[in-house]
Amino acid sequence: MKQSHKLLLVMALSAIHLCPFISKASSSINVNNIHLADRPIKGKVTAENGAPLANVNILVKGTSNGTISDADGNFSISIPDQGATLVFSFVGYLQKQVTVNKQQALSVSMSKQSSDLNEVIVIGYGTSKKSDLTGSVASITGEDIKKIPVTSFDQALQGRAAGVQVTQLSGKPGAETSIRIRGTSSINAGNEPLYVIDGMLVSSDGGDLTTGAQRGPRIGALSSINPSDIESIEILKDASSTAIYGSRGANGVVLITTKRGRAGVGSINFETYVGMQQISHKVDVLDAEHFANLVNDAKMNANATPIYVNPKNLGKGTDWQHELLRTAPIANYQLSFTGGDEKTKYALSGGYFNQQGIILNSDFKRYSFRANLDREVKKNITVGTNFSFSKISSTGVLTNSGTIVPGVTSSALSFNPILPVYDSTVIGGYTYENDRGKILGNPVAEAKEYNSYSTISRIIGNMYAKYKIIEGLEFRTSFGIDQYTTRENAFGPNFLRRTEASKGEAIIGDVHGLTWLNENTLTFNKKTNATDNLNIMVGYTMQQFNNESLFAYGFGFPDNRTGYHNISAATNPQKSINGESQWNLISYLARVNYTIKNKYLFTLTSRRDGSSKFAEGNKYGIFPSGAFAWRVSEEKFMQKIKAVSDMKFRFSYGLIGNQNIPPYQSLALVGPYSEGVFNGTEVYFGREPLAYVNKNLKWENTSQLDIGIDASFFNNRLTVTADYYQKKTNNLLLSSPIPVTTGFSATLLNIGNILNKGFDFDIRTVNTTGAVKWNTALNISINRNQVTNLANNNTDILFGGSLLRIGQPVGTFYGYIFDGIFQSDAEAANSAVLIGQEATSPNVPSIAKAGDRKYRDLNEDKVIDEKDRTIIGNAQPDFTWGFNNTFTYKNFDCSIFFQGSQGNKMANINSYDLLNFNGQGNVLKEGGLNRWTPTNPSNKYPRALSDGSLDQGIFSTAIVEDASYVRLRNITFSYNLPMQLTKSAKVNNVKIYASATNVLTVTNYSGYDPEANTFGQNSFIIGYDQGGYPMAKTFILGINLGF
Amino acid sequence: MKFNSTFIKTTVFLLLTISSLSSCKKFLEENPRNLVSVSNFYKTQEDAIAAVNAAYGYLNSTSTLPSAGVYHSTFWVIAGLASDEMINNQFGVPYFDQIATFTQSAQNFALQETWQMHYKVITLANIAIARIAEINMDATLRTRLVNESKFLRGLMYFDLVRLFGDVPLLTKELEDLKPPRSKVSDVYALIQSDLIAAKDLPNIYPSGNGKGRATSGAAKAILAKVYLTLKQYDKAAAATLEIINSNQYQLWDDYADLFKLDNRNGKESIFSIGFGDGGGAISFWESGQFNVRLLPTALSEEGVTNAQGWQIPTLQLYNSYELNDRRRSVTFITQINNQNGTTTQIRPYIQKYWDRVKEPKGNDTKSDFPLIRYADVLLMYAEAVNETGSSADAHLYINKIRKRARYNGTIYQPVLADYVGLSKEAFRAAVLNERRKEFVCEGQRWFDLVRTGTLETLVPIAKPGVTPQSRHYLFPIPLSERDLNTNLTQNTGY
Repeated sequence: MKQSHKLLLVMALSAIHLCPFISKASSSINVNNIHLADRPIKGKVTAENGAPLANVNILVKGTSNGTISDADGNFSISIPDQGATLVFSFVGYLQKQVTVNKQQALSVSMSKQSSDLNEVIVIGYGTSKKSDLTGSVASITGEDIKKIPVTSFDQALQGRAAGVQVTQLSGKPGAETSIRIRGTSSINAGNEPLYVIDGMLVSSDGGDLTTGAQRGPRIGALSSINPSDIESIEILKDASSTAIYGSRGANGVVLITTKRGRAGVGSINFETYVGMQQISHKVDVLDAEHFANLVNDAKMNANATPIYVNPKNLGKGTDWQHELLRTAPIANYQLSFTGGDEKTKYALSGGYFNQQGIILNSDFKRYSFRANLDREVKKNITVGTNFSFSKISSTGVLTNSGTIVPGVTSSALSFNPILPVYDSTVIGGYTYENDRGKILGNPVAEAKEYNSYSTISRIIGNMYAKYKIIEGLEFRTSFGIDQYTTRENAFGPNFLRRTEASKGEAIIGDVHGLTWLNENTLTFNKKTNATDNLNIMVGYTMQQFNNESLFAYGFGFPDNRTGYHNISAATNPQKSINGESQWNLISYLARVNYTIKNKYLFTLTSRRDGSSKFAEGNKYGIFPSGAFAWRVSEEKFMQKIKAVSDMKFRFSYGLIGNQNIPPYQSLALVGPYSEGVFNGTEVYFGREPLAYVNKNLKWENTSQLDIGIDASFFNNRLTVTADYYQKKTNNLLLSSPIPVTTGFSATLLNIGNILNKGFDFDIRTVNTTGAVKWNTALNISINRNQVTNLANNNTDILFGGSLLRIGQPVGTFYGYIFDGIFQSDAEAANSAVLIGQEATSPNVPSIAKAGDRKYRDLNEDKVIDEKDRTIIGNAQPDFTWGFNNTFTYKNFDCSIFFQGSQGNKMANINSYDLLNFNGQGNVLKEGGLNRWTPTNPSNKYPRALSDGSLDQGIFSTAIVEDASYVRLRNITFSYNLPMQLTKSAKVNNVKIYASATNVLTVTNYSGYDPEANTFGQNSFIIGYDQGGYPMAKTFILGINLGF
Repeated sequence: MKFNSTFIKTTVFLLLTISSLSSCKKFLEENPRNLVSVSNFYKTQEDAIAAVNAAYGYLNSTSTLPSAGVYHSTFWVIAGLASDEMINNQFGVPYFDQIATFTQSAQNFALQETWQMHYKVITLANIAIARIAEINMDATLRTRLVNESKFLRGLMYFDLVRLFGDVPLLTKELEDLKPPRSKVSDVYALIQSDLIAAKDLPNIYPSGNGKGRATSGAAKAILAKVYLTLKQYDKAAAATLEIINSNQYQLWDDYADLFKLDNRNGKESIFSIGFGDGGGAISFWESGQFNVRLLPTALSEEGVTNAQGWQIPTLQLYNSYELNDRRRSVTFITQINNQNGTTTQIRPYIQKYWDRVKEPKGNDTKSDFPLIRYADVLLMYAEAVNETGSSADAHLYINKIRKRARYNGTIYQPVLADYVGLSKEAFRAAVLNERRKEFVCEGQRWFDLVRTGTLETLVPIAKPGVTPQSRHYLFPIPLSERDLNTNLTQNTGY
């Protein structure tokens, strides 16, 4: 407890230091308590162009007396006879205060917030005016998020902020995204940023919310947050702003602020949209006739008998993708109540969201409720709560690679198109066997008959109390919880290909998680003179994370009727599995902000974290940072330069940690694994170490340098924010593959250092201001990633086709160079070929012949082996970008949002099968029709060969593709109904809109979508596409009503 | 005054807040209640048994990756495919196609899995040997458990050294992450010392209390095979004779009785790998895969489920049997009984592990894998003494196997005449041929062909066009392992 004493001392000292100001402060209170007679005053609020402004909040300062302007901008309010100050506020406009003395009527003109410099934005443990920021923070409004109909708000961040790369891992409703803030700085499991919702540090790892019983890509933890509730999102990027989160800030911090009530007249809002989704891009495969030709050709090339007698008669056959996919509805409903007075503010909302997936039987529903309240209970005590409950129910289908049979998308691409979907002669009624060899499940049967249903209930709530000890000194304490319960049920009937071996299977999984967080901060704010300001914050926080899971399953269901509803019907029940994990964190934090002459801004931050995950003696880490900003536009010599409206330079440097690894990594544990039977009857169980224990494990840390500029020109018509950063991560933790001679295939290693450096650009322009208003926002993120050191003498670390090598970026692909097709048997016989393809065994079909793939013999040793592998690209983009244009004309609004990624490569693992012309499964149409034949000597696609699959699984440039893309992410038209119309209906405002999302994607990538990432949030094995859930394009119509 | 009261209130409030929190030190301690730490394990007799059982548990099936234990299937499929015994009929599994046609590269998944699972058992055996020695427990049991572990370790290295040649020789609980390869001779030295230690194991365990664990006889039999492989024929002859003279093991009169489920661990069994789910007591994955892999799909007509016919015998193997050789009809199935009473002739598939009576549906194989049985000991003895000059003894013992093959369940048929007066050279060929017919699909053939230097001559006869080369006397060190352990060199030719 030594640290706590120190903290107390600091707090006590601060309090003593403050005593001279107390008397001053107390004398200035209680001015407005004298009430004389009131009188009414009328007025009209207009915009700068003279148009009336409706719904403007008007409040008599210092009282709870307020009103709202009507559709013509008119208002009437009572004020004290001797005069008062009226406060006018309206979203998107600068707040205006007007002092009323003797006037009877007022005419108030409000100006649009063309510059956001005075905007208050949320930073860790506090707020800051944008102009006072010393760190690098990107801000996104709730309005921007709402434009795109997303299940989870993280999806809507894509392309909205510089330095933030968002990848949708899957098109499944509610699935996770992967977010990289300023590159891959760590390569352990925890590369995702920290999420803080209204001050609550929440669980954002989808893995915590599942037992693995649900099918298909797991549901993102953030999908339980209703995007409609969000007021703004701030993304903290540099060390100065994230260091206050210490050991959890290395990957950046995303702060989410939900809507709160404002003083003024209450408002009721109803928002809804409905729409349809469709697959954005289908992959063309061969139809029945062409597939039959391919099979016959493959057989004949292997000196075997053709299968199909008359392919022409087979026609188109079954389009398995068409059978598996559907046009799916999406709908959202939200009702909210907001309002308050000077002492109490409230925001209540309820939402219902329903999205069906574009694959059969993959649906997502969410019910959500929120209550945000603030109340001044005493003159110097304010309390409040943010409380939300949500319930998700979802059905899933298995995509990606699967056990026993691949996921449904892979199966749909590969399944024999000659076969029908249904076969009424067998149990269950489906065609089960892909009769051409490749083991596949009927995708329609797997999707429809394998039932996976899961629900997640989640409560995120906190309560706070603020105590203003004296003017300028405030103590705040809060206690919050993030509680979730997941229930996952799955049942596979005994007739499916996937579950025929287990004779039917039922699974029930349960997860209960609870995080609690207690935070105590003391903030001191003091204007030391007219232009200088000092702000000091110290704090103490504790957090605990608990997770318990139970997984019960059984095999052998002769009767499929009861499904998972009766798991005890299993004739072959399996052992239940349960798990527990817990981690704890104690932190001490301190921050000093000092502003001199309104132009020199200093920030010093430090956080000391103690984490239970660290080994004994290694539990505490200190994470300091410092920043300096210079508002050069405040200098005299700049005043003459009229073109510059505002200009600020920022410099920051700091050290941040990463404790985002699973608990118990520093402990060597024994668990039950193996079992067996002696002599058919004597069952035995073994116990063995669970992991290879690396006793030299150290914790990784990241240092970051940031140099930035915020500038606006031409009366804020052009605003530029640009940052250069360098992030160095040392002692990277990675669950790395290790030689299996250890008895294990992977362990957590400190594998080296990584450097990320890059630029973030954010440029906003106001292009026209007349009748047609046109604004543009462009952001570009450029990141260069490099492994700068690898433990173990800098030798390469390779996992499949992914390489970690000093000097190369994470995500480097390593493999063979595909060098075209052998055009003659002689060429093949005289060239270097794979081991086993040499012409030593004359009758083996795998001998290299005309039509086979050629690989480059890099070391010219006349054989293609592992020494001929080289770097063949990487999954890191050269840059990512977002480009948004908004147009306003009268009551019409239009926004067009493009977004993209340039220069990244993707390993299209699907091509192993879809470009393998052995006739065992269907293939890409483009490749299948243009495969090498003596009459059509392709140099890209090999010949058909029924059992000569020797180069299958060779990781080469033949499967690594350019995955750059340009996407018309969203286009929205909206129309605000004229006041005259809405007034008669007693509605304050009505907005109607239509939007289209993912309408157009320009890419050379041959798979479903250039954004696929099969291995999820894994940071090392990135850029792989293996049978994922395809993306959808979405069209919606919406209406917002305000009462 | 105001200052004082505010200050005191604040201080008290903060003190209360902070003192209500539990002690920081304790708060940051990790204490998983669902797992036992290594430092608290390996303390009791039960821990010792569990540590050895862990190693046994990876011989059969495992529920963890890659998917199968050492002898689950890959081992005997490789030994069968990389020879004149079997052909791959499993579509979409190129790594078995490659093994069957001697076109494998170092990226072959089957070899990678084999390598990995052998080292898993070695790791667990090393832990057991090191930790059990420190446990305060019944001394006899402790010695036995250590020796069982040594048996398993020796057995694993014996497989590895034959499959891959020089291999990393790891004998301690914690070893270098990137060990280099050790010389074959060093590996054999450890194998011999481990198996010699294991000769002190019990001769037999009571049924239901360890029957199926490694025995003294198992250690002696494997040791004999080590000597035979090293061409130390005197030692091989002495070791096998010791087993024969112990009279502990006998041949079943009928070859068909060997694979009956009721005869599991019977009189001919020396060491078998146990399979089965213990009547549902453990995961169904613990069942074997003989029936799934070997029985023809056409048997679905007889109600057999999940027969895949993935690996099938070469026709030349089937044709090499004399017509009434009991082993032919027991080993192969060539006919399906249709439900309408007719029969359908099919190409031969392997059925010897299928107990039709006990497992009519054939889906889960509960048969054990016969790693070494008495017939092998007899043939090893015959092979060894043929080399050392005792031709008469050699003929005597090989003919015991011939005799049994004549028995059709009722009578000894007039086929398979005894070998008489074979030259040393001819006898070598004869014993290799008997081994081939006796041990179909028992994970022997590739090892036998390599041991006798006949891989290049015999394989093309059964598989025209498939021509093994000198490099195929060893398999390549898996590339995935060499990528991670840069100290590993590759075998010549790969």
